[in-house]
Amino acid sequence: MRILVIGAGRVGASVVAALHAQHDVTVIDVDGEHLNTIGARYDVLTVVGNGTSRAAMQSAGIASQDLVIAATDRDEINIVAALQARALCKGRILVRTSSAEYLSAWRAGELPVDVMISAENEIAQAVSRAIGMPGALQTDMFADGRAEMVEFEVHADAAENIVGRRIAELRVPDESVIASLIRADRVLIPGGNDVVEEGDRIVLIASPAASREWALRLARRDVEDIKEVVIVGGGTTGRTIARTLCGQGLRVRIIDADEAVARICAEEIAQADVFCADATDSGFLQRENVGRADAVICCTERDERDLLISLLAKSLGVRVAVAVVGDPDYVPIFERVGVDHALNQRLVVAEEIVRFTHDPRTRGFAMLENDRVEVLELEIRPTSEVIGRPFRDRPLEGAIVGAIVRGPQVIFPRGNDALQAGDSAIILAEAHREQGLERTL
Amino acid sequence: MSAAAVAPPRPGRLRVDLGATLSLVGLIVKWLSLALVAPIVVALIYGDSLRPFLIPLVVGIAAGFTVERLAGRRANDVGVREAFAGVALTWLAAALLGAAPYMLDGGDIRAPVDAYFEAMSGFTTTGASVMGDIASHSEAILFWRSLTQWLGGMGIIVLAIAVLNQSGPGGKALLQQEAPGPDAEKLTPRLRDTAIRLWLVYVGLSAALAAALWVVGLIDPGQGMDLYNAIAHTFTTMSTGGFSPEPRSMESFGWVSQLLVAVFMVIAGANFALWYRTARGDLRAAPRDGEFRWYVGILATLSILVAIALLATTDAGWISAFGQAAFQVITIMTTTGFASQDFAVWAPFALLILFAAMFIGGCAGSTSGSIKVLRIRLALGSARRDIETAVHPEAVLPVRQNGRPVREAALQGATAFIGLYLVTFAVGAAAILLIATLHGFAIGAFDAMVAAATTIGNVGPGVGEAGPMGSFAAYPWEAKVVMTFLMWIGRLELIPILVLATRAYWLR
Repeated sequence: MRILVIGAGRVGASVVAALHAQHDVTVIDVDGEHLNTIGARYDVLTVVGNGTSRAAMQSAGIASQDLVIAATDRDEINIVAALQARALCKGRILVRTSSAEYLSAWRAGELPVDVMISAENEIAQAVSRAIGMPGALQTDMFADGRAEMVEFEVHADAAENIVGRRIAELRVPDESVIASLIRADRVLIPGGNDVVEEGDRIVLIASPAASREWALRLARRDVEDIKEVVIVGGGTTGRTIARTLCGQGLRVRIIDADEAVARICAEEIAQADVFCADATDSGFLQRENVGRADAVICCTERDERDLLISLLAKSLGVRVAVAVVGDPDYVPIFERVGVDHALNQRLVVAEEIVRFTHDPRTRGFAMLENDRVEVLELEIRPTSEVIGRPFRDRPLEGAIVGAIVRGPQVIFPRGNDALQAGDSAIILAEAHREQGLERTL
Repeated sequence: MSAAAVAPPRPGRLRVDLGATLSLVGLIVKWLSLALVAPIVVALIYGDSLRPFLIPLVVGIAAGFTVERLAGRRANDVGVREAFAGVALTWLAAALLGAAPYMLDGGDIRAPVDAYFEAMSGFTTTGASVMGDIASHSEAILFWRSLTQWLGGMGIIVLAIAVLNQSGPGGKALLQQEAPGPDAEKLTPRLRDTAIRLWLVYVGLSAALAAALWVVGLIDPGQGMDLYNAIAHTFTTMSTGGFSPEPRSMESFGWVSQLLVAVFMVIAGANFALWYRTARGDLRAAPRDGEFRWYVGILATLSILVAIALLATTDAGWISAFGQAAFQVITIMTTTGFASQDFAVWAPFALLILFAAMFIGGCAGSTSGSIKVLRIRLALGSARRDIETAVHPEAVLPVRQNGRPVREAALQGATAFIGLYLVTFAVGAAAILLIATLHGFAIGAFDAMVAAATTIGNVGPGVGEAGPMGSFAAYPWEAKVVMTFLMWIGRLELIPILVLATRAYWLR
C-alpha cells in the first residue's frame, strides 16, 4: 500500500515506525529536522513542506496514494490537509484529531474523511479498560464486547496460586481460552505441559463474565471496583480521560499545577473536582485524602513526574496507578517498578492507525508487548484450507484461536472444535506472522 | 497619524466630547417631547386644559433642536466615554420635560422640587409620589404620569436607538449604561435591531395586558376597569412603575384585574430577552433559565413567609392571605409598588420581608430596578466558593450560570455593585434622616431606611405617612432632592453616575 503521512511529530513518527516495513511510506513535514531523523531511521521518502499545501502534496505523489494519514498535532491543519487530499487523490483519508467536537461532527457525517482518530480518546478508552478490570495489565474488546482479551500477571500471593502448576492442571472456565504465556521477553503458545512461573503474564480470551472470574482468581489483594480516581495533569489527554470516566459514573478529581489549565478543566468538566496544586506536595495530598482514591492516573507533560507521582500515590494507599507516558521505551520500566499500567499515546494511536491499514476483513485488533504480539478478529474466507480441521491438530502455526464468532454465538474453542465458513476468529499471533495468517484464512 | 494624536495629554484638558454628548441629549429631548401628544389627546377627550402639555411640547422641541445645533456635533459622534455623561444627562433632561406639565397645571405638586420628583419617579419607574391628593388631578395629568413610566421602563435611550437609529461608536456603551443588569444582551448582530425587538416585545406584552384588562372591565363592570384605567395601569405594570390614577391604587379593582396585573408584573420583572425567545417559538426559554427560576423561587418563598405572618396576625383565610401576600411580594420585589392593601399596617415580620424584597428586584434585562436576581446569584455563588475554598484551598471552582462558567470579572462586578448599592442606600437613608431631624420632621429610622430603599430600588411606596396609599408630600424639600437623586442613580445602576464623579473620566 502507498501511504502518505502528513506530520512527522510524535504520533506521525510512531505511525511511520509501525508502517514502514510493510508499506511504501512518504512523510511530509515543515520541519526538516524531524524528517531527517525519520529518514535516517526508516526506509521512507521525506518531503519538506507545509502539509496543507497543494504543491507539497503533489511533490509527495498525492495522486497515487492509497491512504493519506493527517497526523500533525494541530486539528485544523489535519482537516484542511484532508480536504485538500480528498480533492487530489482517490485513496482513503485518515485524520488525527484531539477534539471531541470534530470527532462527533465526523460521526454525524459532516466531515468528508474516511476515519477520524483521536489520540486522546484512544488513550481514555485504554485507561478506562485498564482500570475497569482490576488486576488486569491490558484489556481489549472484540466482537462488540462479547469477547475480551485480558492480560494478567501471575503472583504467588494471588487469591489462587497457580505458580508451579501445569497449564493442563488449571481450572479454565468454559468461556475462556488461555491464549499465551509471556515470560520475560518470550511469547509462548502454551501447551498442556508448560509450567506457570512467578511473574509470567497470562493472556486470556474470554467472555466478560469469565474474564471477571479470572480477575478474581489472579488478582493480588481483595480487589474492589474502582469508584474514585484522581487524574494528575489537566491537559487535553487528562481532560478526555476525565470526561470518559465521569461519563461512566466515577468520581473524578483533577490536579494540575498550572492555574490556567486547572481553570479550563473546572470550566469544561462540571462533574469533576479540580485542584490547582503540585501533586508532589505531600501536604496537599494528605489534606485532600488522595490516598483514599482507588486509582491515580498520571498524564503530566513529564514522564519522570508521572512515575514519581504514581509511586507517591501508591505509598499513600492508592490501589492502582496508571501512567500515560510519552516515551514508549519507558513502558516496561514503569511497569517493573510498580506502576500498574503504563500507556503510551503513540502506541495506542499507532495501533488504531495500523488497524486501518489491515485487510478490510479484520474487524478488531490489539497489540501486546509493544507490538510484537497481535490479537485480531478476522473473517474466515469460505475457501480457507483450515476450515473443518479440529484445533487439536494445530492447524495454525504460531497462532492460537481464542474465540469463534458464529452469528450471535461466541464459542471459546476446545480441541474438538473447528472453524467453519463464515466464522470470524479472534486470533493471537506473533506480529510477523500476521500477513501469512491473513493469507491462510 | 497626526501630530495631535500622539501628543501627550495636556493637564486640565477636557477629554470628553461635550458637544457630541449635548447633541445626543438635545436630539432625544426633541423627539421625547412628541410623547406629549398623547396626554393632549386625553385632555381633548376629557376636556382638560391643554396648556400644561402644549407649552412643553413646543419648548421641548425648540430647546432640543437648539441644543443639538449649538453643540455643533452630531449625536453619532458619541463614543464609549461620552456614553456615561450622555445617559446621565439625558435622564436628567427627560425628567425636566416630564416635570413641566405638573408645574404648569398648578396642582399640589407645582413646586419645582415636587414636580421634578414626580417626573423622575415616573421616568425611573419608581412610583413614589408627592401628590397629596391624586383625585384633584386631571385625567390628562395622571395619564402623562403613567406614560412617563412606560417610556422609562424599556429605556429612553433604547427607544432612541430603535426609532432614530442613533448608534455611533458609543451605541453599545449607551445601551450598556442604560440597560438594567450587568450585561446588555444583544439579540441580533445589529444594535438597532436588538433595540427594535426589545421594544416590540414590550409593546406586544403591553397591548396584550391592556386588551385583557379592558375586556375584563367590559365583561364585569364590578372590576372597575375602564379603558382609561386599563391603559394607564398597563403602562405602569409593564414598566414595573406602580403609579395609579386611583387614590386607592389596585385596591379599587376586582380580583381578576389584580390577578392579571400580578401575572404581568412577574413577566415584566423577568428578562425580556427570554420573552423574545419565547415569542420566537422557544417555549422553554424562561423555565430553562437559571435566573428566572431563582426569581420565581424567591417570589414564592417570600410570598409564603408573608402569608404565614398574615395568617397569624389577621383573621384572613388561606386564599385571601396567600393572595394578598403574593400580590404584595410581587409588586415590591419586581419594584412596581402598586398597593392592594395598606401593607404599612401589616405585622412587623411581613414588613421586614417586604423591605428585604426591595433589595432584590427582578431579573437583569427586565424593566425592574434594584440589585437584580442575577447579581445576587453571582454574589452568592462567589461567596459559596469562598466558603468551600476555606476547606479545600487548592480547589478550582468556577461559578456557573445556566451551565456556563461566569467570568471572574463579572463576579467581582456583581459583588462590587452590591457593596456600592448598599453603601449608597445607607448614605441616602442617613441623609434623609438627618434632614428630617434638622427640620423637626418626625419620622423613625425605619421610615428613612424604607424611603431610601424604595427610591434607589425604584420601588415606590414607603411606610408610615408615605405608605402605599399615602405620599412623600410632607417630606422636607431637601429630602425630596436626595430621593430624586437616589431614583436617578438607582435607575442607571450607579456606575455611569459614579464614573462622572471621577477626575479620570473628565481629564485623563
